Amino acid sequence: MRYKLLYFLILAGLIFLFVISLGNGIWDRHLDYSDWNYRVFYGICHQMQDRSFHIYDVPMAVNTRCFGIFSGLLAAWLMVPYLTNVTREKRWPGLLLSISVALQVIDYSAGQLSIWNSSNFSRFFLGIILGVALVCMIADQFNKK
Amino acid sequence: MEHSDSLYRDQPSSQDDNYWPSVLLVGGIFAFVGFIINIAFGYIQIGSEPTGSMFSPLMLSGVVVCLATCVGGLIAVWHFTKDVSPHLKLGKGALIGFFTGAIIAVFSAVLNELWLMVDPDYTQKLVESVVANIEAMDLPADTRDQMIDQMAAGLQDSTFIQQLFLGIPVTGLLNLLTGMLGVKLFAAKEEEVF
Repeated sequence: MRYKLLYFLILAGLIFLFVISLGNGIWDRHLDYSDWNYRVFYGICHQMQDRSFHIYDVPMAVNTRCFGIFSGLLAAWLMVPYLTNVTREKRWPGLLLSISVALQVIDYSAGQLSIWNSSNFSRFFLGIILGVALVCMIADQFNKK
Repeated sequence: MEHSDSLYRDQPSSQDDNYWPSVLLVGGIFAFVGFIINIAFGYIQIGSEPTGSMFSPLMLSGVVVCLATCVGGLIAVWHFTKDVSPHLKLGKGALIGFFTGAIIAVFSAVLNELWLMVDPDYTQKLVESVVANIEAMDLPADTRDQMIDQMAAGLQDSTFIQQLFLGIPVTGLLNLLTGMLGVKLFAAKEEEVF
């Protein structure tokens, strides 16, 4: 595998992102939106409580869709050493990314237009697909030529 | 002359590696556009009657700004491959993406600070409008109070340093990933040497 330092730096970043996105529940602390781990996501996530998973009754710092994306990114990133070969010169990662982006747009638009209201779990799984698809798309760059 | 330029542009060169113009241009544009959208939707929110709807103009702007912010790295790499050199390694694409995210965070913080000089009451008016909207929602009192606390905490003024400390790591990391995606999509493929 090439770019090992880059790989491990990003892995550390994604673990950090994943852990702080869990919110205060895992630290057995009460909810406080002025805490830094909640404020850090304020600009990129609406953080609505009824659209977030809860840990010990404390909502996570991000909603289910964002948590899905971060989980998908981290899970797939751990698989990069394997994915480098599987995705090399294949077209399916591009297709998967296109489909996952389209699914996000459709699901979000449908919610906004009140066509349907997806559940937290469906948003989570759609987020996972997007995160995994993004990593699959770039994984072959780590392949040793 | 034009022919020789194009020949140079197709060759990897150590002189052709200044990525800062791409980073600053794309980062600056995305920060400015994001700021304008935020401010515009913020004033729409302030000027609107409380409807009690879960989806407010402010929330819509958040989604648009989030998407726009995350693809900055991708666009910066695209700009670099078009304007500087099509030859780009993954590490440099990641760096361009991270710096673009950092510039977006820095410029956004600067623009927010400047706007508070133009309209010092902006944040207060926005908080009042959002709280009025939440109070109009048909929700249990506990939930409503929690939402008000959340909104007030999120919207309260952060210091310039806080905005940078909170903004750069996450924005940088997400743009770093899209920067690497940009390398995959836009950079010239390395030729195999057998």
